[in-house]
Amino acid sequence: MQKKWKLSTTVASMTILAVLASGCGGSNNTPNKGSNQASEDKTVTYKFLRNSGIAEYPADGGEARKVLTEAAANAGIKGVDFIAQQAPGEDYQTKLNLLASADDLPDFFDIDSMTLSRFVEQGLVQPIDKYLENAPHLMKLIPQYYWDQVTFDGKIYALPNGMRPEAFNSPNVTSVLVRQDWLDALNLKAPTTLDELHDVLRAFVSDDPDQNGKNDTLGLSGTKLSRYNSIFGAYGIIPSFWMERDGQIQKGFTLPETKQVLTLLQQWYKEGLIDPDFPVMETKQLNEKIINSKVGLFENDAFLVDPKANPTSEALQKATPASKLTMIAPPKGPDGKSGNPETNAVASAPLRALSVKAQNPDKLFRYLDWLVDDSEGGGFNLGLYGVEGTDYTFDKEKNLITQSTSYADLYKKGYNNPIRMAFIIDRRWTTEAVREGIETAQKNIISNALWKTVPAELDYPDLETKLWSEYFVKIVTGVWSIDKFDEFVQKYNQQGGKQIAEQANEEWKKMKK
Amino acid sequence: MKKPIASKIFDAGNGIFLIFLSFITLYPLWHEISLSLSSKAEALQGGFFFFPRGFTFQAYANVLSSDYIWVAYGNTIFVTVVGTLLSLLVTSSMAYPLAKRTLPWKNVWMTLIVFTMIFSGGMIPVYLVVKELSLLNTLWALILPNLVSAFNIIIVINFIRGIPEEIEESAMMDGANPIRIYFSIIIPLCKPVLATLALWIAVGLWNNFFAALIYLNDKALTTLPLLIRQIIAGQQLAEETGQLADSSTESVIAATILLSIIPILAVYPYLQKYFVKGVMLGSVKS
Repeated sequence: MQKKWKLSTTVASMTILAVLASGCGGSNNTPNKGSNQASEDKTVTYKFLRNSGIAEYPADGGEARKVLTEAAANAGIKGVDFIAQQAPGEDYQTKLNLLASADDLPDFFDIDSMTLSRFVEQGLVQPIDKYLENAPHLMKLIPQYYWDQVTFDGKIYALPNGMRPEAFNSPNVTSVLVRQDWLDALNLKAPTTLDELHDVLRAFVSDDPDQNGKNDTLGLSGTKLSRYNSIFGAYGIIPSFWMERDGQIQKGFTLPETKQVLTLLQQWYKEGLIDPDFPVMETKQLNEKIINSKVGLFENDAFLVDPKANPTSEALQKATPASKLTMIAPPKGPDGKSGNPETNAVASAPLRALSVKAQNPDKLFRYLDWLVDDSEGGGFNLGLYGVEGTDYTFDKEKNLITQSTSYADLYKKGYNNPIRMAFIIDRRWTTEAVREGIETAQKNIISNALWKTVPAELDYPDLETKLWSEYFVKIVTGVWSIDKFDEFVQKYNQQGGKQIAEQANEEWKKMKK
Repeated sequence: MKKPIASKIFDAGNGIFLIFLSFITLYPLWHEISLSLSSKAEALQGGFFFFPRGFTFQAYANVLSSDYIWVAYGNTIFVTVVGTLLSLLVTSSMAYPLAKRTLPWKNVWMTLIVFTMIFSGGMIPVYLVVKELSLLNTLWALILPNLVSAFNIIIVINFIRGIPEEIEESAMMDGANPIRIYFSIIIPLCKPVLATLALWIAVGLWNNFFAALIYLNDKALTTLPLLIRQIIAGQQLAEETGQLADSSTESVIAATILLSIIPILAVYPYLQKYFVKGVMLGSVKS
């Protein structure tokens, strides 16, 4: 009996090993390389990969894939076809790494700046300068300081998002929002200086602006990530930005101005003008407070002024029909300075990079340039809004696009997203109120002297996210006295801040040349 | 018999405590249900949800209107059912011989198995193996690489050791070979442990987001977790860019969560009875 066991198990294990071995050996990997010498009009199917979540996008590309390629052919860019694939979520970069290690990168794909710099080092992506020579529209719509951020050793390696020239297309849409109806109820004017802001906040907190007889209103609120940049702006700095001082750049939160702002915020917090929950709040909780009319003043996007453009303000209007949010300019400080932080559209949106193995990149870039060309025959409106007359109408005089097809249906037809492989911010569909809000927000902008992330910042990532956060929150809430700020600057410099500043200055000087 | 007062108070306190405990475990699910059925404005107001506010099916309509939700359901059910059955077959057939004390080189086999518990190849090598096996962009990539888990094998081995050897010997005397014994005796007797494993494996396969993300590219192969992530990402994108949707992100997320857990919740009670049996089998019989 024992023998029988032995025999059958040995046979079984041998078989398994044999199966495994044969399974590993077989590999039917036939690389599908596009031949460059083929004639210019031969159809090339470009493979795009986007880090997006458009569940409605059809597997075959829908109507748009045909319409777009035909329209491009009419404009002289013949033989372009594409497959747009998507992978949602933060794990997208992991997928990209795996594709790269398996030598399977798509032709043109979304990438974040950190992964891009590594891909450049490893030679997985190629410079696009020479293709951009034939792309005048892209060059026009994407500002130079965006290109600077994707330039490595003098060569451009990725395509950032651009924006249309109108002021309301500015990436800077964040400023101070105030409850206009509360101001009206208390007979107050919109604050323009820090002192006026202080008085407004005090009135919001103590004078019952919602007139419900309860002491249940807050002044200034924010989330755990809020640094009240517009208050810092009144002193001419933004804590997380590089500011120029005596021919050098320094991080905003190491400057003496930061101490002044912290003193002010600590004072306001003591007076009860700042929401005491802010250090633990998420965006969702802040939105709930806004909707429930607990908050009178906060920093947010201009879209909130129009209840039809933002769910939070829509819900606020439903809950309190008389409510009205107005966007105001950031308050002026003692020296008359004011400003909101410049939004870095390059860091917040994905970049697009070209694989070294991409097929016929020259044609691809001519197609991408056509896609952002808004003249007659160009693909700008077609790609974003579908077919004129069926999906949208365009009022030239008001420069207003009115969409008749919902985004969900546009996606189903294959328009707008994820196919916008070159993307130019276009808000010609917004209402007058939102446009005014954005124009207010983008007027006073404090810019960052250096956007590029230096290697030392990656080596000491906790300095800004942990150390600065801790000192900011503890000083503002009064747990620590303001004198602790000097200790912060010292600690910051000791724990790597000095190295960061050295590398940043080096980069900055290179850029200035 | 009269209970002393102190005992009564204790019972009452105990009852209240347990009701409170069951409430805090049940509330999150109830919150999601209410949220998914609430109108947009109400859902965004937040706070406690004891009942849906502004009752609407809009969020479900949004999710179910996606053309791909049924494709995703189909793919996920395929992966879960086929993956679970195959995994149980392979795990139990591996465990059966290893449970035999007479198996030659038993320690070698066991060491090899335990080795995989401690060391793994890492993500990139596994990905390359999947690629070389031409499994990329097929649903089998979600099933085959993790078909056998060493931990599960050890559990089944221990269970099979509890089955009296005399049963097998009597079967062998009646002329059954090991294969026959395995299918007609061992597997039926292993039902409790296999049901338990089935539940673990099925839940794991049902919720497998990461493997689907990295191995699958074609839209036609999309699975439920992948599609849900896309729907949520799409909602967030719409909010950021100022495009207004008909239902709030919160309710859509709640609706997708419910749609994805309902099938697994429905299977749970049927498998749970084996859990109880499994515990009894191990403890009472000598």
